[in-house]
Amino acid sequence: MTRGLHEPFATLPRQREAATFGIWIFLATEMIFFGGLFLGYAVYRHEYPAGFAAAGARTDIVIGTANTMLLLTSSATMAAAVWSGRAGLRGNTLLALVLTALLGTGFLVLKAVEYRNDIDEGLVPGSPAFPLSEPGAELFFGYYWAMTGLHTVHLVIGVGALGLTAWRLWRGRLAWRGTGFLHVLGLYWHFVDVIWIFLFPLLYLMGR
Amino acid sequence: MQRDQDDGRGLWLKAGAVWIALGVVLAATVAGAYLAPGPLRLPLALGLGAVKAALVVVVFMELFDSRASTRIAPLVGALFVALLFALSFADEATRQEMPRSFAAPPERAVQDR
Repeated sequence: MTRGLHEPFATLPRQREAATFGIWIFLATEMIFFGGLFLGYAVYRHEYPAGFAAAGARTDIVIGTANTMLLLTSSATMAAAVWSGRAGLRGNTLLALVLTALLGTGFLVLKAVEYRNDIDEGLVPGSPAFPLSEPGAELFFGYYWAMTGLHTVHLVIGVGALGLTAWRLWRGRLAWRGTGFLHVLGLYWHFVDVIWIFLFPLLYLMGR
Repeated sequence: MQRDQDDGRGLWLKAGAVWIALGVVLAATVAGAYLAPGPLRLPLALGLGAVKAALVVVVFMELFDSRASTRIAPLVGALFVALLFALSFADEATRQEMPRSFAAPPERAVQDR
């Protein structure tokens, strides 16, 4: 029996197709899940343009831009991991997976620093030290925390999955040749990147 | 073995080329947020975001290399998000008046006094 082939599939290509279809269905539900938050943001921005602009100018554009570049870079290394896996290059795949996990970890470290600064500045909805008086500014930060927080949870899961995959690949415990495993992991990672691509202008570039 | 090494270099070059394109578009996004005329900033930022997302979805996620049955899944997701926005903004964009702020005291409280 071919390594990595599971019931009920007769061949690896059919198993790969099913895995790809499955992850895309999951990602479609994630689109709708994040879509609700984007919608809430859009409605309140339409309602309070001045408050959203004033609040958007208070987010950290340096960390935000650096984090965007980290995630874009991590998507490139993730793609290299998937393509290396397809070409049968084990060392290359392992290197690219580790790089992707490190870039993801870098994002999380910078995000933690940014969250600490935000809390120090009182940029938390409901905080007595909240520095802005414009209507809608607190709503903006409500969405900022909810959207970046949910995105961070997704990223933590991604970094964990990458670390586990790299470790299993290194130990020879992963059926990576011909299976859809790396591609499915890559699709999840790229999706988390795409969500950030749209979060970045909405949360960091308003009111500049 | 030689062929494997060549394949490896080629795929890193391809990923690197897309990465450079993504970096250039990101730089344009940030510059546009400061330099573009006010009303154009949001559409420009979202448009450039769409360019970055398209690069990731087409090249890295290989959406158009997958089967039609697979491509239907994200299409349905996008359709529901479009419905969500269309129906909500059909209400939001056509309202005559909205409460000015959740912080403003309701008029009823004044009448009760």
